[in-house]
Amino acid sequence: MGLKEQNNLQNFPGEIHSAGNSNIIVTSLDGIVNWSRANSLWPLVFGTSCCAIEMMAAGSSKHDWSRFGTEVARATPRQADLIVVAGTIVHKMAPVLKRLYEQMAEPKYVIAMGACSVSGGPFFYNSYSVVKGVDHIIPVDVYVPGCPPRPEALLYGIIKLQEKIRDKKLLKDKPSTPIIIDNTPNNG
Amino acid sequence: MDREALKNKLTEVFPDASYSENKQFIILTTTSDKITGVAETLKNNTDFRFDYLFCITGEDWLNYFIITYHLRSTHLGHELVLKAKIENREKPEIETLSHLYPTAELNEREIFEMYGIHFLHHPDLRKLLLPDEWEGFPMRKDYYDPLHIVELE
Repeated sequence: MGLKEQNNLQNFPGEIHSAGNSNIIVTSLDGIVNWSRANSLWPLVFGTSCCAIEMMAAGSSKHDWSRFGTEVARATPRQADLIVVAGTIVHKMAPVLKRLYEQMAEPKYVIAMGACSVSGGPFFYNSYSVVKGVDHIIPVDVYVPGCPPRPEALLYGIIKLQEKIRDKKLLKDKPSTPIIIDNTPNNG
Repeated sequence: MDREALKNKLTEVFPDASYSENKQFIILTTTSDKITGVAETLKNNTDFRFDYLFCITGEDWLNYFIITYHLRSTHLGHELVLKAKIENREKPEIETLSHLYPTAELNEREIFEMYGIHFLHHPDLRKLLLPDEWEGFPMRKDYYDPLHIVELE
């Protein structure tokens, strides 16, 4: 068994060599930085309606999103990397959300959770107050549809975001394209 | 007071008002100019003692507005729906009930911003939920906002 397997580091992007009393790691800068970023996403405490209940369930003991490296939720945007837009955004809330996003330090990521933040959802038609999709205000990395999506769907969205982060280039970043998660029931 | 007794007493005290019923409530409909007197009687008359106003609703019926007050007596345990009809759509006005029921103050502010109905002698008639710069009354049937509203065909 190699050192990576022994230390439960199968996903570590690089090689670990034993060298006497200490070990030597051989990796790329992209690999190690993205690995660190993807495995310590700190989400912002932000929820505007029923999706926030599912997000809290995803963070609490039963689903426990810290298993996937989405650790402590922060109450200030200055310390957060990830904002999960969990719930309806109305026009009165839009400038607040924009400010929260801009207060977050780079690199920062956005998950649009639920039908309301994806497209306006049930409030798409005939609503004077609801923003028709949060991507009118801030750029979105992963869309998780559902009304509300179950915690598993959110966890899958987080895993997809981590895959996306691992794929980034530090110096010459690829243009960001959003991931759309299909969580419709598989009947086949 | 049970339902029949309350109904009889109401028709005795307010013979001019019109009445209807549903499964839960007796509904007393009056006009907007009489609302203060009716509400004062309902609150102070020892047979009614409606001391708790638990909901105010606005309704837009295109030709007229209706303000609906849900009243309850915590002493006697009966409930009543009081409706006031506002005929003037161009300049809708009604007296406030906030001097009788302080809870009316916030409810009336919400109806004011959503329907543009002015509550006369209200202590602080400002917008409640909408942004301060908002124009128009979004809960009116003829409200239209092509920028924000996607109409369902």
